[in-house]
Amino acid sequence: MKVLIVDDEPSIRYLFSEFLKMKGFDTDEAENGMEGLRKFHRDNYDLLILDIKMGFKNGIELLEDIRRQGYNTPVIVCTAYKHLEEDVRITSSENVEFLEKPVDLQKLWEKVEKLLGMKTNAG
Amino acid sequence: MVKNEAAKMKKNRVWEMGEVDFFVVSRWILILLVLFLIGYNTARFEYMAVAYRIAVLYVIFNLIIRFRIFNFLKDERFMFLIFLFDIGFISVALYLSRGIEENFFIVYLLTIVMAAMSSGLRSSFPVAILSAVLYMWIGYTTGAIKQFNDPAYLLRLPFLFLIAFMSGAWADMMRKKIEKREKIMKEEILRLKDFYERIINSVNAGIIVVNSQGEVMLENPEMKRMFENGVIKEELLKKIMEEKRGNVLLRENDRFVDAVISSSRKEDLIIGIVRDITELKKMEEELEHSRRLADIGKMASYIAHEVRNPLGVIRGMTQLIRMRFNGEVLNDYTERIIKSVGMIDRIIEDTLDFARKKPPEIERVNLCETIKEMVESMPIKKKVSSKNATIIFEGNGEWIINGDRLRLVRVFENLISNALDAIPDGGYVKISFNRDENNVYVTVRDNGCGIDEKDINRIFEPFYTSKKHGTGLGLSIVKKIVENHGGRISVRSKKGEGTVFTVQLPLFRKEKNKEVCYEGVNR
Repeated sequence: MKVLIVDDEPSIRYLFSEFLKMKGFDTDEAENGMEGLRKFHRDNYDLLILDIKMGFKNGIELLEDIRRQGYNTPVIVCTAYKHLEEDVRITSSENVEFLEKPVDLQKLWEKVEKLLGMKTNAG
Repeated sequence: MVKNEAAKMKKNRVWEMGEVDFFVVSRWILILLVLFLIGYNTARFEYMAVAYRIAVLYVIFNLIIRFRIFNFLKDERFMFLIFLFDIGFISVALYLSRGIEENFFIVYLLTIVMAAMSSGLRSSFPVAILSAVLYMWIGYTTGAIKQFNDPAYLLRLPFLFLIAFMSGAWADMMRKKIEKREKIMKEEILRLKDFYERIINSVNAGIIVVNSQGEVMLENPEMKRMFENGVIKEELLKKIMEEKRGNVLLRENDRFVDAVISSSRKEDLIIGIVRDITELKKMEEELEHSRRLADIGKMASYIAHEVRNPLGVIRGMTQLIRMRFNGEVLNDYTERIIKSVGMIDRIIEDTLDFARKKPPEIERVNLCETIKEMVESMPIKKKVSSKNATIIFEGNGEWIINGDRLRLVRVFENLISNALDAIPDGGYVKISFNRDENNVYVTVRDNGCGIDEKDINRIFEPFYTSKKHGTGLGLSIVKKIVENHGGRISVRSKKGEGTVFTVQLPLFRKEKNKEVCYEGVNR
């Protein structure tokens, strides 16, 4: 399974990456939305982890783009503001989970399991 | 107002006295001149001539009148008596000096005219009648008239009455004209007075007028109301007298007063326009407070974004360390790091909550049900079991209120969580529900340590806390949420015995045909 982590904060990318690798995932990183979209088209990913606030296309824009293009890849959105959840929900509520900052790896793992488990069940 | 009217009345009286004085002086000159003429005519400059003696008597008698011994003579209705008296004096002088002759006829005419001028026909006719009688009688007794039907004298009599009628009627006409004009003027003055009084009384500011001696000439009802509400009159007057012109701001008895002071050109009148700006000041303070809160909001927002990332890294990395390496001491250390991160996050969340401007999501909330559900949630359950506490519910009802469910949950979660923190091991928290016609009352009571008397008035202030690890925002958020729902929160506490928080929230109600019915039904 391969996860794309899109976040402008290198230490967050490193943290997620280390954690997911420990759990047996392959990871890839992008530091903004543009790079994330490029990578998303180049490779197949089972899960995306997106930060909302980034330069060069933020997380919401990236999510909108890939949904518009017909991809239903599971997405975890990280946000420091709870109320931003609603803005994202308007865009897409399917296959999206929210992870509040400061990130808690336990919760991240719950979301990953939930999204990928759902996918497995559906598939 | 009263003082002004008194001054005006005084001025009016002076004017009336002037009119009377004019008649008195004219009479004196006329009568004395006539008496001297009679005296000169009959006895030249003989010292004790009858006419001169009468003149002295006349002066003495008039002085008596002047000094108000016969006060009733000042009344206009009795003025004619003075003229009758004058006619009497002249006639006596003529009779005693036996000096009647054709020329003195004119004296009667002048007296009649004066009587007419003083009080119209009412005076002129009696004077004319007496003049006619005395003139004829003196003429006859002194031998000037040989017989009563002497045409030379008889023909003069109609002139006396004609003059009496003409001058009396003219004077009456003039009087009526003046009275009419006076009436119009009085009405106009009253109208203007009423107009200005209405303006002064309806101005939403206190108006006070002081003379140069510092005496209050006028104060409007708003000004009186301010004095009743704690503005100190003496202080205000002192400031007004000191400044005379300009703006002053006074602080008296916790009231803020702004006075604009101006003076008349001669500085004989000092006018103060006074506004009670206590409410305005309060609003300014509140505005300043909300500005500060908005700043906190911005700051919190910045912190939320900037701090939460590295905080997440700290927590995540610590979790990773725990996963990779194991050991009792390491587990203890990392657990403490993770707990501290949670605490920092709580501070950020509270601050964000306090400053959040997000509009509430109003829905119908079943209050009892919502609170019971919340008590079953993880954080509260965890605290209950760690303290071996008991949660007791008292009262039950499907009481619906209009509100933001999440925020209301926050209110009771906070109160119950605080209560659980305060109670000793094995303590209890009692949640009671009551209602009246319009409100539902939720009481959260604990048998904990209670709140210090010095703290109780401050517990709802932001950043005020007596807890070791509290942010001091919890109860101020609670209060804000309750008040935003149109409710109220109160607290009672006794050190060592426990604390009772009562939240009052308005019941949801539907207006139907103007009758109000409540959705809540007591079970």
